Amino acid sequence: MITAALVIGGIGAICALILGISLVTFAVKMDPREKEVMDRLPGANCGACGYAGCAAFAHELTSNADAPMACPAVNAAALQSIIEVLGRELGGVSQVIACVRCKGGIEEASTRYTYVGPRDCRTAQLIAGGSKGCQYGCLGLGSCVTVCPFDAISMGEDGLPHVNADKCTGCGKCVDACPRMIITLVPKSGNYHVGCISKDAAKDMKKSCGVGCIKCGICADVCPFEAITVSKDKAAEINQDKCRRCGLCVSVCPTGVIDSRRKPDKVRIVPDKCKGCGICEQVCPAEAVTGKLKEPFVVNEGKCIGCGLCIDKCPADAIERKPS
Amino acid sequence: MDYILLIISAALVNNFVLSRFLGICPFIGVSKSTDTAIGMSMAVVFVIALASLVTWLISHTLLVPYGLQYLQTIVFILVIASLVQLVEMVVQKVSMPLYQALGIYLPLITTNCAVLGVAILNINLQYNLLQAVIFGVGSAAGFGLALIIFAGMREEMDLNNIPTAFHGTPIALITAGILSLAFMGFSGLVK
Repeated sequence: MITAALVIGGIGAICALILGISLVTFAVKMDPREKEVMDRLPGANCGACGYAGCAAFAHELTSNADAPMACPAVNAAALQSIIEVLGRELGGVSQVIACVRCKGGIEEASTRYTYVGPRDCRTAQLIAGGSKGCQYGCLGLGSCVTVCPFDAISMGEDGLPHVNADKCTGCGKCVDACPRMIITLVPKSGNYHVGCISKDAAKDMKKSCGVGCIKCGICADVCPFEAITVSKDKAAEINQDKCRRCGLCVSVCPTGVIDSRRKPDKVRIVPDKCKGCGICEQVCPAEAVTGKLKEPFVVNEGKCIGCGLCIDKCPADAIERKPS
Repeated sequence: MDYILLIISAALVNNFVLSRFLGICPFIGVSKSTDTAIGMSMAVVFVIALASLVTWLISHTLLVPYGLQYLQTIVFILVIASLVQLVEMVVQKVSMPLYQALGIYLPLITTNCAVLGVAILNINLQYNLLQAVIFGVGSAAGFGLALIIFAGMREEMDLNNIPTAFHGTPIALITAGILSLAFMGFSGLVK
């Protein structure tokens, strides 16, 4: 008994001693920030960042000034303190959510026959290409609802799936499940999207659906940022990188097929800073700015679309967003 | 000649993963790409060779003379864990590139049952010191061989159209089973 305790204790003590000595002898100087970053990472060594564990990723973040924040598991508070430790902004994993690109529900879109089979879009799609009049529209049987692991999609009374933005994680399972490829992933921060992917010409499409994109091109003409492309055989498409979320396209679309999740904040002009140059009046695409030269200009809140063009152009930095 | 046979026996005939069922966790976990599999294999060879040496010495100088064989498992775990820590510190100081290549795998194999398995088998099979180290290296090479072959197969599988029900773990386990069948072909080659 005593021998056993002595042997185990002895081996333990010797190991501890050797490790302790070598910790000092073999100490390697490393960036002190590396350890601080390491402490703030989740420490699960899951490898989702593409590096061999959190330590390797912390090393990459501190040694490479361009390394983006590739960790999807880090929470907002930890991310903030990592930014403080590193003293630089971190680009990173952009958050996306699923977006259903069809607005032709039970009311709006016609059907060709009555489908009574299993409640599964992929099955329905195999029977004469689905019951819907429009061959691009949502079949409304909810394969996306079933496949969603986060319970974020629900089938509305209008026969269309609705995505709960708070629950959606952008995993993309619904994108794969939809046989008609209606669901796409879009940036989570207030996106605009065209709720139709029909390739039919306007007159064909009108026969089967009242709310689809008729390819008139008004949105593309009116967009101040050239973010929208549209052609005769392709529904309007919004380039999410160029879109500034001003919402002009929503207001001019004759069929109301463009959707937005969140309107941007409107702007206001700080009277003390405004020099009355009038540049904002010239650049405003919505004619929301009025005023006399050399006097403070004012923004008509009802007309302002929040595109922020004037903020970029103002030489006196007198325009700011008004938090809603 | 005996030593060559010992290596063949440890690496192929009694392969650690595919016939002894040891070290399955890293076999499934670290076999997604050939690069990481090679890194892991190198680390395992390194650690098992050292662990065989040290545990054999401890067993024959401490445990057997004092009749403490029943403490074998706990002492070996203690020694192997400290040894890996020590090796990690030394490697970091001496060769940074090697440290970065081994990366997270070095600490991960601290508690790997393949390492402990070799240490205990060395004693149970009553090997002498040289045999123990050679058996360790052979076993680790067999582990590495299985791991790298398996990683190569999984990389190929990613490029193929696999039925949805088999995606991920199921197909990996089925493939591991078939690979084990293949290694069973070596049985009887050496005792």
